[in-house]
Amino acid sequence: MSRSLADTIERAGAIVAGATLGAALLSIFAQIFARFVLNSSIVWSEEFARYALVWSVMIGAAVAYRRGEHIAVTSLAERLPSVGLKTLSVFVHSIVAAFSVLLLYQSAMLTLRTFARNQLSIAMQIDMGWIYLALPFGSALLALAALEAIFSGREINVDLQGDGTVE
Amino acid sequence: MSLLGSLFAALLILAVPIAFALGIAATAYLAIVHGMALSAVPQRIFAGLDQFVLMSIPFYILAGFVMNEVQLTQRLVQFAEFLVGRWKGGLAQVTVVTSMFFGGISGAAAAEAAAIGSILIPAMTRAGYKRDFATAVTVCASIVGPLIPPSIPMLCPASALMGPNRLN
Repeated sequence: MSRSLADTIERAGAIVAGATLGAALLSIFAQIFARFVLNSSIVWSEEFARYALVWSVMIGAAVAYRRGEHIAVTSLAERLPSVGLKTLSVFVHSIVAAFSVLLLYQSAMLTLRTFARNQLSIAMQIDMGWIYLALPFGSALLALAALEAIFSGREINVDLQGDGTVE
Repeated sequence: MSLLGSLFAALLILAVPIAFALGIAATAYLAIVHGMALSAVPQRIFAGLDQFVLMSIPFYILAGFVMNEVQLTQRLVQFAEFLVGRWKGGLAQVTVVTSMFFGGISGAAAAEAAAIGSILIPAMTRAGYKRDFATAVTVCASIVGPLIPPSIPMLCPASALMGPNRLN
């Protein structure tokens, strides 16, 4: 996968994850206004906010992984020589890729089963499959991010400050 | 149980991101020891994500950013300076007191450390405090945010421990 394509996917993912979180925020604000000012609650706002969060988290996890922003314990990695760090990075990315592929397969099966059952959400009456779809979508992005990290030789982030200083 | 703990610890030390270390260790434990079908993994992940109270985490952090942007943090700092600033170690005291006021409004230790630290750590280093000390004071003081309700660590465990919520 070319670098610019991966960059585009990352940027699009960040925008979508931010937009869904913003939509959740707006729906909660709307609910507060409707409940306390208009005295008539919005039925779908709580459910919409929860499902928007699911989508936001699953996409955001992949974006954060590509940016090396997931929290990890790096005290061992910091002390390794550069060859060791390279090996460890490949190991970590492979483990994440393996788990993402497992999650991708299992959640894709779950999503297909849910679509087949035509289960509707309680308040918004949309097919639950569309919400479960966040899991295979997000784990596919995660697997892509991890595989790209392996093949581009990207090292795990041991300097979360990003300013290169380890005092 | 020992498999769960040792696998989790091993993955953590090997710098696997904590979220994945938790997921992999739990999956391996349930699949190997309990013979659970792996199809339960996405279901449990979804059930864990599908919680209204989790919304408090991003939005508390957002609240911290908003407080910073509208100069509320600076005003809190000025107020704390007025209260304790003239004493010995004034700026460090100001950091602790500002954290307390901030904690009453926001509820995320990380947001608090980021918001207050960005103002007071440079101020403290300029005033001659060591950077290590300034950082340590800010980080320790930021813990008071979650202790003063409303806060994330009060909301999330409460909802996780609540019985009826399990029925969702």
